[in-house]
Amino acid sequence: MQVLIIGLLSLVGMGGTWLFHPEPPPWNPMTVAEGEILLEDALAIEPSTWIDARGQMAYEEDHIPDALLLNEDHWAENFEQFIINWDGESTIIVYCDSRTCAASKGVAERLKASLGIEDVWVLKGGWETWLDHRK
Amino acid sequence: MAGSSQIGLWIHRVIRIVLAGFFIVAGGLKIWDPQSLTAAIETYQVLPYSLAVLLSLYMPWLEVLAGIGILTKKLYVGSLLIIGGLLLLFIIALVQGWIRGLDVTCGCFGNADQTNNTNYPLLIGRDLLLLGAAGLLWIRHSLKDRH
Repeated sequence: MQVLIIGLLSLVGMGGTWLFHPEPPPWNPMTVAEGEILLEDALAIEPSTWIDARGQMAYEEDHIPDALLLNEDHWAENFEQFIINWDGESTIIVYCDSRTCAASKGVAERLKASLGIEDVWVLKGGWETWLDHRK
Repeated sequence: MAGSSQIGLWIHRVIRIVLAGFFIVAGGLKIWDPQSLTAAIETYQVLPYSLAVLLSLYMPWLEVLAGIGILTKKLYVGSLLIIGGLLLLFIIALVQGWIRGLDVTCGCFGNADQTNNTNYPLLIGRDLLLLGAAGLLWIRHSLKDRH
């Protein structure tokens, strides 16, 4: 009975969040959140630097052309390589496996903090979206 | 003898307050930012997106209300059951993520823990500790009921 009461009260709260929260989660999974960018928009940006935040094996198997490997497992060595290759001005677009992976967000945040820039975006849908586009 | 039961009572109170505080704060932060929680739930790759949205709207309230309930007499047992159940679910979700090699965002404190490189042992250890604390409260409650 107590569990039921708390469960029902939570339903009321849930309704409140849904109705009154200024930024409820979108029902469409492909809605672009803050800091994310759609592939078509990303491809239109010039100049741009693509960052592959997946693991090294996945990167070596295949990656977006000219993308640089930079993940948090090997941040120090990857970041050194990135600094050598980055022109210092181009927009940075980070991707990981799919819409549900977290690596690209982590790398994007760390890049913003390390470089002191805001022009860093996370590719919506990640590598999966790129594969769909390439077909 | 009276002294040891007094210590037991205080330990019980502290555990109760810590558990309540943990769930009220964690749930409150998540109510504040349901978008981040949806994104975090998605990284576990166990639920379809629409269910992740529903859970991100519902679960934080369950946490807050159970956290408050554990401090009351009338909702104590139900709250304890909910907290125990939630902790078990969190542990199962983390273990499956670890086994599958996923990089999950804990989502435990809303947007405040958007970290990468999931520290599974730490997260699972923390939840096991909290589950143990809830277990202790449950045992004490059961023993009290018998006497």
